[in-house]
Amino acid sequence: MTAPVWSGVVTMTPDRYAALAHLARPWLEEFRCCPLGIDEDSGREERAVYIVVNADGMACYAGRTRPTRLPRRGAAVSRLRQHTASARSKYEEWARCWVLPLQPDTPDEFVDWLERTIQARLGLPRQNRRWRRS
Amino acid sequence: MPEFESADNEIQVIPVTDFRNVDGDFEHRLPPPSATTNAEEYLQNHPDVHLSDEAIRRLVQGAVEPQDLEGIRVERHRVETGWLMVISYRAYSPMVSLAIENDRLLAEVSYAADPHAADVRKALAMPRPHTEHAVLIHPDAYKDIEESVDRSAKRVLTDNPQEVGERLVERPLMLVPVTFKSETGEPADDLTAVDGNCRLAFCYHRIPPVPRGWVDDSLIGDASKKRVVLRPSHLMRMSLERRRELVRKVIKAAYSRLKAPRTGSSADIRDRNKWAMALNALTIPVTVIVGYRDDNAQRGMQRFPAGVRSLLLRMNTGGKVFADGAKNAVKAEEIINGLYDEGLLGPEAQARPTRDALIGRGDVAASMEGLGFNPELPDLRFALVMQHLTYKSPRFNALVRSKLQTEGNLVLSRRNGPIVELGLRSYSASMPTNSPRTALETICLWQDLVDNSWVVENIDTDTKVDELLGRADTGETQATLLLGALGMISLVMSGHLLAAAGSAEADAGTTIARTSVGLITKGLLAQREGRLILADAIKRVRAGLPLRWWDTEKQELVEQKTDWRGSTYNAMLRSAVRHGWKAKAPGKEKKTPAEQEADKLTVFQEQLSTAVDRLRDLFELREKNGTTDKLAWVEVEASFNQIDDIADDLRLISERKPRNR
Repeated sequence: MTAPVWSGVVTMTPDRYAALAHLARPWLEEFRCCPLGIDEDSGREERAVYIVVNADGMACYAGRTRPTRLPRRGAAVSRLRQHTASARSKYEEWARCWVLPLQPDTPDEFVDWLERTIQARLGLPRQNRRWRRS
Repeated sequence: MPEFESADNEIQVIPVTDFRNVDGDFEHRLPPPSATTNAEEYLQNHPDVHLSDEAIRRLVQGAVEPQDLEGIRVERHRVETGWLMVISYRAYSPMVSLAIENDRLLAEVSYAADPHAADVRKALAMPRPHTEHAVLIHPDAYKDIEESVDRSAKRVLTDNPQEVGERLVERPLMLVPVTFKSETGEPADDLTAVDGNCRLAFCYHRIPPVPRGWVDDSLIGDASKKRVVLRPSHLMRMSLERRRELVRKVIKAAYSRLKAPRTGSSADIRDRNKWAMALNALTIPVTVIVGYRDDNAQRGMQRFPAGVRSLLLRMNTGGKVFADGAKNAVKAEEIINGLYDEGLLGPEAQARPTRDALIGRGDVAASMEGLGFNPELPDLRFALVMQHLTYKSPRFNALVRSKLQTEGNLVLSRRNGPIVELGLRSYSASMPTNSPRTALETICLWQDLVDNSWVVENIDTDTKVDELLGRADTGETQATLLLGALGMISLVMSGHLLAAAGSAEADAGTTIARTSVGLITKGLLAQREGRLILADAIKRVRAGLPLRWWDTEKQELVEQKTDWRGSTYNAMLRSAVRHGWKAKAPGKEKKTPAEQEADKLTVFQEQLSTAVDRLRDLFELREKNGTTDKLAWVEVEASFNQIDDIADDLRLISERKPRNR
């Protein structure tokens, strides 16, 4: 067994989610304080920042989605599908995700700002140095 | 006193003819005028030489070996519309004049197209054809020609240094005979460069300052000056005989200096080199255009000027200073002249003023008026240029393609260059055009201008602008395109629509449309607010007033905020095109103190992650190298202290770590 690609620095907890939701407050669509299965339908949000945790519950990835075309399902789950479909390590190691759904008219730059801030708070790199496209 | 040997760094006089003096050495020697008679007769009787006797005399008298011109082969040089007849020989550089218009400067001079053009730095009119001879007729005032020639000489000396003097000029210069409409006794004809202006200017430059008496004394300002620096205009206005005399005197002065005994000092070597370089620069290889035969004999010499001009672009291909702007300017003029020649500018009564208005070198005001436009408004002329060069028809496209020397489609980017150059001529005297040029070069067109046929109307009052806006609001294509063209010109020329700069996002506080100026205009036209801005810009710029901005809350045009600059306006415009004109998101104006602190924390945390990464880099490298030695404590002590300090300091402003006990 090779070393895991997706490790983290802190675990995701409801406390932490609440703090991050506080950051998203002016544009937060729903306080969704529980992790969802990586394949689970996440709702009908149009824009979102999501936090992926591995099997140990460690936050290992944070990303944002603000698609230009409306997805058929929630934006976050659509984006996660793309992730797990394109990389083996993500498919194997990503366990659940926490979603911060944002209002449809959230400005692009706020979505970007939120993603960057959350990555910093969770001690996550903007790019995972051990990840290779497989 | 012992004779010194010639030094290593001494420049030698390079032989250019077979003439040798009694010592068996090469020497420059001006041939006697008698040597020219046979050559003159030969050229006068040659069927392919279409020149007056005076022009032939000037050409022969300027030759280094005039006797060789007797029986010289007249070669044919193909241009688009016919054959240029040329002869090649060696000439004395001071016997040849600089090009009357230096096309390298075409993008920089001021044009009659600008209603505010003053009398200085004027672009000269295009040369006209002669009825029977292969000469160019320059219709401008003699003093304008002199001024223009001296200016371009000065410019090329700094812009395009040439190694003339240490070496001979090696590639032939292309020359063409010209005539002037001189009324004050200056020579009415000359032999001027078409290509090779830079090298010729340097040849003149190599002649050391000459005594006053050698040039026409009336030219030289201060009588106390014993020596004068030769200017191209000095040479131009000398008679043929005096000009030859000047060459003879330069040769004599050079040899009297070079034959003086060497002293071995570096000053002596420098001075000798100066005169040796003068001699090496005194002769140049030339190819002179002596005749023209049009494919269509009916056209006579009509298309001769265009033929000569077309040579220019093809010759200036090497890595020389011929900026895109100047190239486009030459091409643009070729296109307009071509359209005129081929009858694509409409019936003659309309075609001639159209051509003059578009080229913008002379008779512009009268032409604009003749076409029914107010000549006071530069934007109307610019729009007229856009109209005529966004035209689409098989014949038009074929002609423009051939003038642009491109095989491909006439896409917007190919149409754009000539439009920018001709359009900017409307502003060449009143303002620096560098920044607008940069903006326009992002492409100032959009496809609708080409796909629809549209015309410029004489929109010269605020009322007419309002009516135009009204029509555009109803969706009328003609009005929309014209509004867009005039509005784009106003926004760009007033510095409110620029090329997208790096700081634009910061200025706008959001993302912006980073597209071409043309596409921004198209975006503005698509919305009522954008059309209002365009129409208002036309009126405001014409009145010299600051532009107004659209207030989304008040739903009306308002004065710009005082701290806005052109770049701010540009950024706002571009962001409006991208995101629409709806009210801005709340909380976007200024970040709250809490948000500012959050951002600072983010930056710190990112740096911390980076530091962790860098340490991992070191681990990986040690692993790869097999390094097991420990780092010396003294080398890492400071780092440990900093890490401890970070932890301590962070604790000071953080909650206590929760304990689950």
